[in-house]
Amino acid sequence: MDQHPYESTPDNPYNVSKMTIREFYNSQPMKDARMRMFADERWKPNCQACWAFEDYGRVSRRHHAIQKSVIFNKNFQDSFEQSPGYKHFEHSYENQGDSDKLPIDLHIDLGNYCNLACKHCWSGASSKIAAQQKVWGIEDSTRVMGDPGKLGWDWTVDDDLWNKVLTEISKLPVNNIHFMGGETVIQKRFEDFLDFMIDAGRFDLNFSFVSNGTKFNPRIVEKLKKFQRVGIEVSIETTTETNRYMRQGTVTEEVLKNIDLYLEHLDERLDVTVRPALNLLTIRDFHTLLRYCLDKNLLIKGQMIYKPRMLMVTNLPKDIRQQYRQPYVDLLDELDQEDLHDLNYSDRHNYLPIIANFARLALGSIDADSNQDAEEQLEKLVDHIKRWDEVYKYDARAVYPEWKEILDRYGY
Amino acid sequence: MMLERCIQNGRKYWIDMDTRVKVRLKPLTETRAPRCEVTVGYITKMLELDQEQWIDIQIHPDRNSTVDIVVKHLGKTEEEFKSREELAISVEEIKINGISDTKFVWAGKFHPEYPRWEEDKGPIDTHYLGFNGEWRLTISIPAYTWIHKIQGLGWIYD
Repeated sequence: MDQHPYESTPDNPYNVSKMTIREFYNSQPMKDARMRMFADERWKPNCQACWAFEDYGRVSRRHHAIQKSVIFNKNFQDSFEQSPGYKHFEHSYENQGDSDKLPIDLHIDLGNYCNLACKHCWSGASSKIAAQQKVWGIEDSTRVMGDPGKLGWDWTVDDDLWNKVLTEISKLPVNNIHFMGGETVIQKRFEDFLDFMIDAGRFDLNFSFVSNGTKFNPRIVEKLKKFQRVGIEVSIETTTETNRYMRQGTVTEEVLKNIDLYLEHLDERLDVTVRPALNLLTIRDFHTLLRYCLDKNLLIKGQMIYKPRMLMVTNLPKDIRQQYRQPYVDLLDELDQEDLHDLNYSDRHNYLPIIANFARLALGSIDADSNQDAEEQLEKLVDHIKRWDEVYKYDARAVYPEWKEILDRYGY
Repeated sequence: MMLERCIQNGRKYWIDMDTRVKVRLKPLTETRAPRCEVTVGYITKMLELDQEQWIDIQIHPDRNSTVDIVVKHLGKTEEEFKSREELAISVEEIKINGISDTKFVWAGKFHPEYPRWEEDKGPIDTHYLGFNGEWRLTISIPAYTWIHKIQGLGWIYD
């Protein structure tokens, strides 16, 4: 089954509009997912994000997740056997993936309302992309449109559904909720959610949310500070023009200014993290973001882009990638940090080894073999950026002069 | 390893929590080799510490129990104190289930048997054992959960 079990599209039967969160938690796709994890299966597309990290020898999000069950990367088998969650794993294994627990850690996507059209994003997470794809007549966009007149499927606009989900969450033993958009800060439902939980007295909750950093809303920050712990994760790729080129519609200087505003609220309960999605458009300048994190003592949480495939770093010819190598080597020499795998990636005191690990990740992707279908993907990439650059009036030749031969070859 | 196989193995270990503790001790001496006793749970080893060495002990404690890791400095005489020549033991490193962290050593305390001419200051935060007495670190079982907390690895699902 290749369908994403929790994709919030209207044609997915495993959807909060058709079942409760409790029912979904023990639905067939979730049971299948657990059994596939027991079998250590590389399950596309669901597992790809983690494998993309692990293929470069790095620690992935699933590693961060299993750390919460006291399973160590370095001593996987022993720590798994002694994990406080072991009995639950055993129950799940012996009952075809059933869980005897209730969900305590939620990820909520608040529709696709967004003010940016990032080159790696899609219509289901950006109304800007959905609108542009509608202009282009692209089928993918119409699939997620769902409701005529709306720029993409947004489950949060249905008041009954929204209230049903809120009420259920308030009764679950949930400890942590992670929000993504669209853009959370401009999505009215994000603040509605905070108001609901404040009224319900659920100050025990931990929140984290991803924002593109273009807007800063002090009212939201004040509300967030009422809760147990808050993680603010700002999406930014580099501190150079490649960030603007990648995150179409953003103003990098504004985002950096807003990060500073968030940092004014930094305390034991509120943390600020940058959250890049490393890809071939940003690998050259990604070290500038690492330097920025070093300068600000900032944590970094990121992912390697594997989808769309055309944006994978390993599509770039190796001779071009090698030109990008030295700043990462210099940074690693300067940081002189041990390669630690079992780390608390949310503890700001660990910013140095975490920055070093991201420099290693970048180097891993620079040194890796090229994709077998790299040429085909580069052709798709040039078509993709050419189309978008006409909309946003960007010039790839000016941003990536070292790509001249590729851009010429595929008719940029 | 596939988790399926881990589940099969795990059944054997659910109650018996295999725990391996390695203690690295260094003699700091201008005279003889210091004498010491190293205890991990129910196993004790006596040794003359003539060189820096690892003491390796594996135990099988029960889940939810605690295990004391104790290094006892023994036999330093009044004459040896008065000679002012160094005769001490340093607990340099503790490795639990292959994981080492300086925080482990600093989580222990030294309970000296103060000589009669010294003021009794109670237990002290040091891993330098200049007096007779015992350095003690108590860990909870499973040791991985203890390590997770000491290393500040974050939220634990319970």
